Amino acid sequence: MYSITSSTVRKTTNYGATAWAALPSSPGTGLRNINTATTDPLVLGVTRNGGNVTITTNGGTTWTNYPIGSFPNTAGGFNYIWFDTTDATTVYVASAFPDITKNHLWKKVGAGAWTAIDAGGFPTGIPIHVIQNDPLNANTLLIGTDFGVYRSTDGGSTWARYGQGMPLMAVRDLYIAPDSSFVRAGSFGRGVWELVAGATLNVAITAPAAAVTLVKGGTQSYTANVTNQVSSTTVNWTVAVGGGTFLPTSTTNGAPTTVFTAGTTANTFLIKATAAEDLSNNTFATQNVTVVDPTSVNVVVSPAAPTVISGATQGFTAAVTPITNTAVTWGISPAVGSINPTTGLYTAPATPPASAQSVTVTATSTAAPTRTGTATVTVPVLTISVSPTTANVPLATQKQFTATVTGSTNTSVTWSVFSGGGSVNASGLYTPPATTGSAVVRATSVADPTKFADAAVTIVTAPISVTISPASVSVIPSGSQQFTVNIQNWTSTSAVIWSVVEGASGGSVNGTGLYTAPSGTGTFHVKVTSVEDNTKSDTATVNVQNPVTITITPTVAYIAPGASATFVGHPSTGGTNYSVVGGAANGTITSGGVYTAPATEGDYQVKAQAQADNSKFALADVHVHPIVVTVTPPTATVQVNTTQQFNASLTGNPNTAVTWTVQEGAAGGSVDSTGLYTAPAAAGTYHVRATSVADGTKFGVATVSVTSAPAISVSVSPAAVTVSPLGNQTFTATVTGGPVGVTWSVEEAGAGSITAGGVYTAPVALGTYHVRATSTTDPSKFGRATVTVVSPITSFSISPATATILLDPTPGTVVLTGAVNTGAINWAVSGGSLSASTGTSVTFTPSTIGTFTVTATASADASQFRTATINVKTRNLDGAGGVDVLDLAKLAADYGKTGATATLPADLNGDGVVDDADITIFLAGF
Amino acid sequence: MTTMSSRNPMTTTTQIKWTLSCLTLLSLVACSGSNNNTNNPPPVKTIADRLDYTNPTSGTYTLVKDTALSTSTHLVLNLMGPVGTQGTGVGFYLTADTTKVTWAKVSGGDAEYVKNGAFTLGSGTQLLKSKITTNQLQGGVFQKGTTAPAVTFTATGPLASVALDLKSNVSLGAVTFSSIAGQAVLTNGSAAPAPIVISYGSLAAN
Repeated sequence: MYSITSSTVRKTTNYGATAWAALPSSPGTGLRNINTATTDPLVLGVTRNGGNVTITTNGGTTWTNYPIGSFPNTAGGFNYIWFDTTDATTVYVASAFPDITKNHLWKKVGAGAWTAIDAGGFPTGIPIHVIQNDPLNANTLLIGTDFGVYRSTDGGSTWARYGQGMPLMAVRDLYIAPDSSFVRAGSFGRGVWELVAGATLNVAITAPAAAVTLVKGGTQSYTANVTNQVSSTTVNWTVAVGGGTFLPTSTTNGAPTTVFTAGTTANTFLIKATAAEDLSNNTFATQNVTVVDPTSVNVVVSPAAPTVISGATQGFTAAVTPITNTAVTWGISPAVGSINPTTGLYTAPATPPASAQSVTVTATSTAAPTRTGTATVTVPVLTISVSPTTANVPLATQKQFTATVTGSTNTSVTWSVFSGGGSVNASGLYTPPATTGSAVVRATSVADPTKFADAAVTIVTAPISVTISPASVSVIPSGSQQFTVNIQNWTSTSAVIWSVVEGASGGSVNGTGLYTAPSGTGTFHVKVTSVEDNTKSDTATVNVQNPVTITITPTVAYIAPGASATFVGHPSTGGTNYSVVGGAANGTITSGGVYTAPATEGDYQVKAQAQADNSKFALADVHVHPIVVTVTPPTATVQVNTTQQFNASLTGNPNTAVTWTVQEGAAGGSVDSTGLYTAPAAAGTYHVRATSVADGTKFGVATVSVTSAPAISVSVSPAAVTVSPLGNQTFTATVTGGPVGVTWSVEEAGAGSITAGGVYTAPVALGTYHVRATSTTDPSKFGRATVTVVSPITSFSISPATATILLDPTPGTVVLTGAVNTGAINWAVSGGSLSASTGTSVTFTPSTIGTFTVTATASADASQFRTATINVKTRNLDGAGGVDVLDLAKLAADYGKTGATATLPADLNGDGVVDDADITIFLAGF
Repeated sequence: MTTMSSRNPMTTTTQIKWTLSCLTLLSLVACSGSNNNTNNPPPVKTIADRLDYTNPTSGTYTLVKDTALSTSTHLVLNLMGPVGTQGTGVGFYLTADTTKVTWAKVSGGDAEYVKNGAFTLGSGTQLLKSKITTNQLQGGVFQKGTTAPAVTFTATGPLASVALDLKSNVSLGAVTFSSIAGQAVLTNGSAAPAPIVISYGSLAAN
């Protein structure tokens, strides 16, 4: 940190904990402000009275002074110096001198001259108290002035007010957050303000189109919206020269509309809305406006030539180009019908014209009233017609006539009998009189009563009708069927003639209509014809087929009241109709054969009837009785882990099979397929269930009370014992209150082992251990014995501990002796041979070279043993042939080597070194 | 001791005399011209009175005759090593027809049938040993491990020497003599003994 007095700059590097030290030299007198360069701790500068700026680049050893004459257009008053935080050679100096004719902010880059940078949108002559750059962008500068905060984003070339919502007031100091997220401005008497970064002044224009086209002198309204302003939403409207005028020329967000009036020059012009708050005029929005001559405006009406009947409407549209204002005014000529002047909807006259009319529809441009477009509407006359125009109507019948009206939306007609007899109703249905003759039926237009159409009617007598019954029938081969005939309107005779259309192959029919089928199957036709008018006849269809059979499955069913069962009919041909014998009281059945039993217990029948011959059917017996499952014994009490046999009986169904389960699941025990229940280990009340296989919803239940078993106790004998290491001890377990089975274990790790029969083997390690016998029935119950492992051996040694002998020319020997305080000594060796396996002294004789271990074990404690190491050597050092000078060569090479004798073959005396003594031994047998 | 007697100076003297008589005889023949049917034919030599040894013409380790120490019936053979090679000892097996020759000590005062040539055997018990088994001689002379620097072999310094004496009443002819293959080693400090091949010459009793 640095501090200044009137002529001295002092520095502390420990926050003033010790005395501040003056820099090596003084920059001069009248110090006003000091600042340092972020990127170079040796660079700092001061402002001084008299318009001096003094900078050192070597930590104050020497200083360079820039007098007032170094700064263009200044009156001095330098009160702030700032080094670019990314470049120590870029320096800013601010002046608060109250002279509006002077500059107040300068910048110096490297060795360049001081340049004033308080222009480009900055109010001229305003005192500046502080300048800093954005830590993240050195080209973004913030200055505190008597008129608020200004910001430059281009290193000082242009400036704009900064700080949305901050009043216009004097700012004396600034703090910019290291991450540039906010700025704090210390005001002169109005507190500290925090300005949030990121809000940029913006202007947006609202217009009917992105680019407006007007005729000369045409007008267009515009609005502008200013956002992120500091204090003003005012915009100033301007347009390129010759383009037109704005009224008013300024708007705000609260009074947003200005009207632009195009000039008299056809061209494209740029209009601009500039934010007044940005004195640099760099914040604006623009839009193009094109001015055209009215003669270039075209109006096209669509549709161009429609026909509109009386009472109908027709909508028209007008396409106006190229101007933005496409509004038109609609009119017609002559005044036949009417048109909406705004929407262009044309309505034809309600009364049809006597002759077809042609009407011109005109659309006139609102913006260019001299420009129009037209369409032609045709209004047709009304026409009417009747169908049929002629008709023969038999006596006692009726005839329907229809009328068609065109040229009007009102197509209603009035029906009448213009001449002759009979009557006609409002819908055109004509009824003839009782006698033959002629008549005229007329339809008159309601829309135009002068327009009508007629139909000529001839009333004639009724024709003979012949009807055979039945019209269709099935008959078995050689079977018969009686047909009847109904003949109407006969005048001379009602006699008829019966025949088979297919001839004799289709069977025969007699004069009374009795038909006899042929012996074969097939489809044939019986015809009956009027004798009076043989053009009148009727025909019946006969289907000759074999007899139908049918069966049903199942033939017997057992279900509970209210339950369902499905039956299937199997007809020889065709489908099946199902029914319940005796009606719904005995149950119901669907067309698909699903029978539902009644609530009443009983025996019923289901019928399957052949559709091809409903005389054929099959019956199924349905026994409706409830299934009852009974479990015995219904209750039982058993101990945990024991069994209980249950039995089940079932009535109401011949299938008496049941499935056994325990209601509580595995926690309640288990039951096998024969009903043998095994109680769980936990006492409680459980339920054994036998469920009908025939009906899984029917079951019987037995309740089982499972009681706890008597407490099990386990004891071990002997309860305490002393054993030698690796010694054995047999234990026995006694179990009371349960099965005698136990599991033997040793409680401590490494404390020996025990067999399933209770034979314990002590470990080598001495100590006190415990043997445990655990009940196999209740693992929580066990007994234990204490085992103390002690050794009887207190003194035990053998000699020698090591020895080295030669195998050649004759094998050497080693006599080993041992002493132990109790018991015998057992001897063993890893190679060679011993003269005895027990005793206090044995002789070792080798059979080959090598290192051998003789082990002496105390018979009283097998864990106690001592060892002796015997090295057996040979002078045949190269392992080839006998002992010769080549072996001597080996010895010569190994001479002087030391180490474990087992690794030194030439160390013949085993003293760990190959030396002259080994040579002597070698040569002695050479 | 038998070998020692075969080197009786008297034997050498006899040989010289025989040579002079022959020269005298040849002079007489030359002087007498064609009058030769009056002279007796020279005596036919059937018993060998000297050992002739022809050095090998090639080989790395060679057995060459020590002309200085050899006599007509006492043949001293020097074992020569490759010049520049270093070593601390050699061991070898030789065989000879002992019906015609006998293994002898190089010098009368030697303790062994092998004599050290180039090696430094040091104090205390030395690694110099020989052994005769029927017609085989095994000999070894070694420095003790690395107690002395390895010897650099030269063209003139034998590594070791052995000797053969001609037996009495030996018929003329070649005498079987050889180095037993695979039974010769070179030691060099503490390194394991390395096999060597000893080249030998031909031996004849004349």
